[in-house]
Amino acid sequence: MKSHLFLKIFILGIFAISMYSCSKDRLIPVEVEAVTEEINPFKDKVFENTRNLPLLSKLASKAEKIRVNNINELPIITKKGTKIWLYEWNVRSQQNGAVTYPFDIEIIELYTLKDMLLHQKPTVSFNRMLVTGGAIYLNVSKNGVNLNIIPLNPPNISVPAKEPDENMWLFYEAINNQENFTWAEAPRDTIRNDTIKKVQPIFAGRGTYELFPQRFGWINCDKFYDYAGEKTNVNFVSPKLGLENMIIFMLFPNINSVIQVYQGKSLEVPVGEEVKIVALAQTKDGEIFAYFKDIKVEKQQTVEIDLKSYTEKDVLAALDKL
Amino acid sequence: MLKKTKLICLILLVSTTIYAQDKISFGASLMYNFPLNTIGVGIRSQIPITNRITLTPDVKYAPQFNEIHELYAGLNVHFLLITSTKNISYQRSRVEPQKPNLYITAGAEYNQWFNHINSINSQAKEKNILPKIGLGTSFGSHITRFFAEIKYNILWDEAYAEAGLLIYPGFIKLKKKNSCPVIH
Repeated sequence: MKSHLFLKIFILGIFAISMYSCSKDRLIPVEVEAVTEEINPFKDKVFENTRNLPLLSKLASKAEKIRVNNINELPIITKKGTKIWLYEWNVRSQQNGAVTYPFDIEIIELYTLKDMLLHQKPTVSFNRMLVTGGAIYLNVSKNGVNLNIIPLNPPNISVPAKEPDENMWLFYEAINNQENFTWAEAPRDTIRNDTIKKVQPIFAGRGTYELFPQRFGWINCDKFYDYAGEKTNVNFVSPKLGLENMIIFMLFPNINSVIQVYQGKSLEVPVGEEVKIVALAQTKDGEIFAYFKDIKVEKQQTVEIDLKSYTEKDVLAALDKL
Repeated sequence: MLKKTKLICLILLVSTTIYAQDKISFGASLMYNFPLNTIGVGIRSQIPITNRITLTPDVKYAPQFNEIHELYAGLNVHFLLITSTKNISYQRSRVEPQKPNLYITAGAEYNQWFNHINSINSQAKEKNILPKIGLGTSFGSHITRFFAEIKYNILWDEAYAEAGLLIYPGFIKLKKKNSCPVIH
């Protein structure tokens, strides 16, 4: 009896082992494990917030600080060639009071697409592409307290331009509904003494744009990009790292425009246009990952971001080539 | 060494003549490896040693359309738990193949893995010796019998099923001579 029971258990055991012992190990190459490790260089890494990437802050040009002591020092000329005529009657205090020299000027000049990328100032106005003639950050203070512009007497800022375009307009910094940086068009008219008067905050000069801004802060000399041809959205995917961990820019050298891509989908961009794609990510430990790619826009295109490890120096060198 | 081999062959032959009431068979089979989803074909011979023990040399081949392209050549021992050979008296028995028999099988197989890769199964080389155990059944007529087996590769933790047909040439001659039930 005992031997019969043993046999039954043995038979059942063999059957169960046969059915459930199913190793697929021979189908999985050893290399796959290694590759998996290699293609997952982001595993367990914590990434910096893309709104404030330390890498960009470090590589971006720093503000130039200039003190204006008296009228005889005007125009102030920056290292990049911007000229500033800032008189005492152009500014007032926060309390609307008159102010006298000396003033402290702080200026950042973005005259290349690379500068705009590093400062995360894409040339977009509420989802519309802009063609840029350059952007500046201008702040004026006295004794550490910021001053405001008197709108009727704005200062004159002369921005260098290779081929000035009469259609350029002034844009000020703004935040869109998605709380992203954008550019807001300066008003084209104003009400003065109950009458509507046209405002001309910008003139195309000889090799310059003459700006008369109504406020300090980020100011851009741009125009809307009008393109009658076919447009498309470019989609971005990243199999290795979530897109939320990286910033993606599309640079259009022929248009002189730069847009930032949010949530993996670009604005509508012209089909056939040449684009330089830049994606950057940085870990909390300071590791830098980047992706640079030149493409020609195709209809309903999808770009796969393949971030590679970069040094700060390599990123800068790659950006210089843009 | 040669003498020893001859002696073993003689013993086997004598054993077969004296005790085994079933005949030598030859067969072909289809094989399916469960975890790897590979299929193959096989040929075998079943040599009865006693009423309960059968020696089974076999060759199986999984062609290259499978993800694993390989060949097995092995020797198994079948131990019949339920046998279709009925003892009538001492040295006399009768084969009733229409009654299914059930056997356990154990053996070793040489394996040649043709498209070998370095897999995460570190024990799987290009050439391997594999211990196997399993369970099988066969039934049919004196001349042709269907068989089915489930086998487990202990080393690789792989299970496969095999099913096929066996031909018993020894019974064909007997059938020609005498259509009565086969009694030795």
